[in-house]
Parts: sequence; C-alpha cells; structure tokens
Amino acid sequence: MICSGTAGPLLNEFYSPIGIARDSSTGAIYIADSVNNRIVKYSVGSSSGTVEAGGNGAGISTNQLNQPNAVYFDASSNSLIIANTLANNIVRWNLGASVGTVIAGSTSGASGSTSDLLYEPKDVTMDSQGNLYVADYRNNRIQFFRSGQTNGTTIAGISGGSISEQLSSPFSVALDSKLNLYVADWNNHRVQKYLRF
Amino acid sequence: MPGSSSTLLHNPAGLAIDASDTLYITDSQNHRIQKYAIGATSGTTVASQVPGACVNPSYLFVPNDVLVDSNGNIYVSDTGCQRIRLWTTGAVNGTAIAGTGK
Repeated sequence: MICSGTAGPLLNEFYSPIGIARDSSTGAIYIADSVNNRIVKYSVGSSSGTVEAGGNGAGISTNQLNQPNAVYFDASSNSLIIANTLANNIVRWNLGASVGTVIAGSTSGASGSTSDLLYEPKDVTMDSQGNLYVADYRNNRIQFFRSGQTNGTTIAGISGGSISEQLSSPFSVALDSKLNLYVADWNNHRVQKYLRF
Repeated sequence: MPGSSSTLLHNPAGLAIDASDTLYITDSQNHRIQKYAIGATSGTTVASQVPGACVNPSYLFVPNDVLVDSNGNIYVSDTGCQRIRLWTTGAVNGTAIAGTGK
C-alpha cells in the first residue's frame, strides 16, 4: 500500500469503515466500522461519533457484531439493518437499543448455503415492503427474504463464475425506483442489473 | 476484465442510486467514484484520487461504499484512509467529514 490511514478504536477514528447509511430526516450518517465491530453514528457537523450498535468486541452475543460490512437505515421502523458479515447473518438494531435481533442467517454465526443460511453477507438493502436483498458474498448469490421470513430465495447468481448468470464475490446491492436490482459483481469487475423480482 | 478506462471497473464494491436512477459505483481499485446515467455504457468520474496522501481532503484510497443524498451530495467510505469523505453537489474537491486517519 502506498498510503494507508491510521486506524483506531476511538470515537473519532475508524478501522476499515465500509458501509454508509443516512437518515434523511436528520442528516445523520451511520457507518459500518467493520474491524471495530460496531456501527457508529455521526450527526451533522460532529467531529466525533457515537456507537449505535455493537462495539463490544467481535462475537455473536446480541450486543455484539462481527465485522459488519454494511448498514441500511430503515426509516419506517427507525432501525438499522446490518450486514453482520463474519457472523454470517443480518441483524436489525432499533435505534437506541443495546441489543440487536438476527432477522436472516444463523443466530449462532454458522455459515452455509441452504436457504436459511448466508456466508459472509457483504451488503443488504430493503424495499418499501420490508423485503430484504442480501449480497451473499461467499455463496456468489443474491438472497431475497420476504419481510419477516427467514428462508430466502436466490434471485441472482447460480454459482461462482463470469457468465451472465453467474456472480463472483457480489459485494453490494442497490434498488432503483422501479425495484430493478443492481449488483456490484466485485471479482468480475462489472455491475449487473436484474429486472424487478 | 479489470481496467481503468471510462467503460471499465476494477473491483466495484459499493453502489448508490439517486432519485433519477443515476447509478454511482465505488470503483475501489481505481480509487474513484463513477457515475452512470440510465443505460449508459461508460461512466464519468465524480470523485477520484488526487496526488498526495490521506491528509488531503480529496484523496481516496480503496473506497468501498458510496451514498448520494437527495441534494446530490456524495458520501464515500474511504476505507484505506480510515475516513468518510464528502463531495458536495458538483464539487471537484472533497472534504473529510469523519475519522482522523492519516
């Protein structure tokens, strides 16, 4: 590396910050401070953050996260939806709460490729119906979880590879206004678009 | 294949879509943010690495995520520099808004 920032655990520092989310009503941003195992909130103009989720070391206890890579702000429930990457699950964390709840993937941190498991999910987004779209990174697939359900459906990626039906290390998901899905297909150096599921 | 021309990407890591369905991509190993209008096959660079080091407010080093607000401000997680940076609408230069990493 020709340049690398100095990482740290203080509240004005990060250690590999990755995902960003924003509460449009307040302008506050939430950052997945991955190696610090926490989600940090910065209010507008703040030079220091506050811990909103995790920050209790890496682990699978309900007050812990394990290298979260992404965070989504759900305005409808005033909660954060967190891709809790190394715990192989997706967590909902109500703002102000001291613990989170696993809403997809294993509560014990197990990885897997069945419909109820994930393997290092890197990103998560949600549509207006509360359905989840998860970049299931090491399974080379995108999983769709209907609101409230813990069994997912694979909606993109049939296996790891580079033909158009395949994904290779999908890193991020996003929805446009028509609910078409975009996937950052990291290791194929491309972005794939899928029509609305 | 990875590449750094306007039609190529190198390890795209994060996506954002604004209200007009314009797509923003963190092109992580090219240390830049690319913007694609609907249907475009090439991108324009809206934030990129400038000469210098992490202390430069506009520097980027392996950015991983991007977020665009309703005013068109662009937030970038500059993972390699341990900072969050902001490009206000149309700005050429960024500002470090969180993190002291240098």
